[in-house]
Amino acid sequence: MTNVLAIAGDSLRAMLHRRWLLAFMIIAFIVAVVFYVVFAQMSQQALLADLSGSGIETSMRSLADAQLRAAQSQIRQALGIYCEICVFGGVVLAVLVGAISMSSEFSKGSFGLILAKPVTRWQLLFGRYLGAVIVLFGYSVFMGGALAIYTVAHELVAFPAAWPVPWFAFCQFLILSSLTVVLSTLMNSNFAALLAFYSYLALYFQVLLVDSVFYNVYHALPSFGVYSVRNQFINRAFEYGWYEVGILTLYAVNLTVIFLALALWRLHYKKVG
Amino acid sequence: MSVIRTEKLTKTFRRRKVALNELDLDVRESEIFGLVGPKDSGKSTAIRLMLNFIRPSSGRAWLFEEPASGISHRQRLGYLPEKFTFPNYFTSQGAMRFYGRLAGLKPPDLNPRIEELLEILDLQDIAARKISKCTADERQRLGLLQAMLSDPDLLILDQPLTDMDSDGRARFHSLMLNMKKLGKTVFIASNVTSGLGLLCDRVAFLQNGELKRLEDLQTWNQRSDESLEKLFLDVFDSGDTSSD
Repeated sequence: MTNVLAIAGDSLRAMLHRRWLLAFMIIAFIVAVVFYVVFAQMSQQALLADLSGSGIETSMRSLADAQLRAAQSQIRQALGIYCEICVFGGVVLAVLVGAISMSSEFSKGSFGLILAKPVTRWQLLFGRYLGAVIVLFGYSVFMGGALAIYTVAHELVAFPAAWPVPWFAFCQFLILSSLTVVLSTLMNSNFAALLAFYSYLALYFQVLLVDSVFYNVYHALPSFGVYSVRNQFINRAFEYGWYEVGILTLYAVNLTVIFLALALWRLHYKKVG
Repeated sequence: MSVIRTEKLTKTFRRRKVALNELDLDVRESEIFGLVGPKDSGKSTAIRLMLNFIRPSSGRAWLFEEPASGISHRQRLGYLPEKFTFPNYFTSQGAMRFYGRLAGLKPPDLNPRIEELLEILDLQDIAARKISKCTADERQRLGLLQAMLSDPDLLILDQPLTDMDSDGRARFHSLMLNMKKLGKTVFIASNVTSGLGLLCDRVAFLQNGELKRLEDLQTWNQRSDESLEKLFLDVFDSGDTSSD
């Protein structure tokens, strides 16, 4: 376990020293601030609509209620957009950290230095992946924190569907990053990242793919659609319960373990140093 | 006891390129063993097979009488690859702490050990310096330092003198002799024979993946006035296949 933690710490340090990750964090922060301002204005409008509805005649109240509902709907849509942006950013991050966590070290010969020590290949793989998971978990916490701040600070209407969003996003990141890790042990890390990214985008293009040969490929890819809760912000059609959250978490962990096992199998035969 | 033993160790890469062909070696305890040969003669392949970094096409290798695929012997092993990079974000000392932890050293033992080796290898001045700002010679010496951190019983060094200046080479020479005195085994792969004649007990000559000759340098020095360089040239010119 000491080896795994030492390698995870090194993996984390390696990622934090990459400039693009720093740029990514700054952009995520700027987006969060922009949305904070947007929500402040929206909640002010909703508050005004709410206030204008009180103490007026019944005929006028229905108009004020309609304004309030419209304002709340806008807030829900804006929250949905924020979540979409965050999840998309996280997907890009997951693919990138998955691609670099193993592959970049093979060519440099630094794995040779590590594997000559009493370190097994699974410890190396698990340690490197753990570093990636910590980055992705940190990003999901940031996303969840921003959502919590928006809803609390601006007294936005409580959305029961909002709480699983960061967790589901993290589940998606786990699947994608582990998929990228296994692909990066099989091919060039850039191609691995592109292919993993395609697996995510295929979710959006499945309708277009129906008549093409790629539709079969789509069925072989992990399913990310089940984690998308953006519609709930718009129509609040249904709410996830603990059972759904548990099953979907299990699905993500299951796929991650399968992908890591495949990566380990590949790593077992891969040339080092 | 055999520290390194290989039995008909063979590696064939794609397109049927034979990198190593039926190599039989037996490296004993407390000796300095040289594996010399021109570039692409199979030296690094032999080392990578011994360390289980690549799988043999046929044959087997043992370290400390344990199959090369085992893990327990790694605690008694130090390795310096021919080509390596340390992560640039580390300081010299930070990198050594990282590799020391992986070697199983605990912080109370690790820090004094790093200090000791930094002094032996004359690297105290760069302890706090970022790896990216170290010279090639300093990085090579740091590579040697990480290999020696756990006070290994066996040092496997692939082209250790590359990028090392004359001062570093002299220091390396005395360090290896000192290790031998302490009962350690050193396995050096090199494509230059300069300096190895005075260092190695035995030398194996490798060409095109074939073991051409295995020479005990003590008996060689007694029966011949020729230098190792001359022997090197003779072996590779004549295609000699004799061994002692």
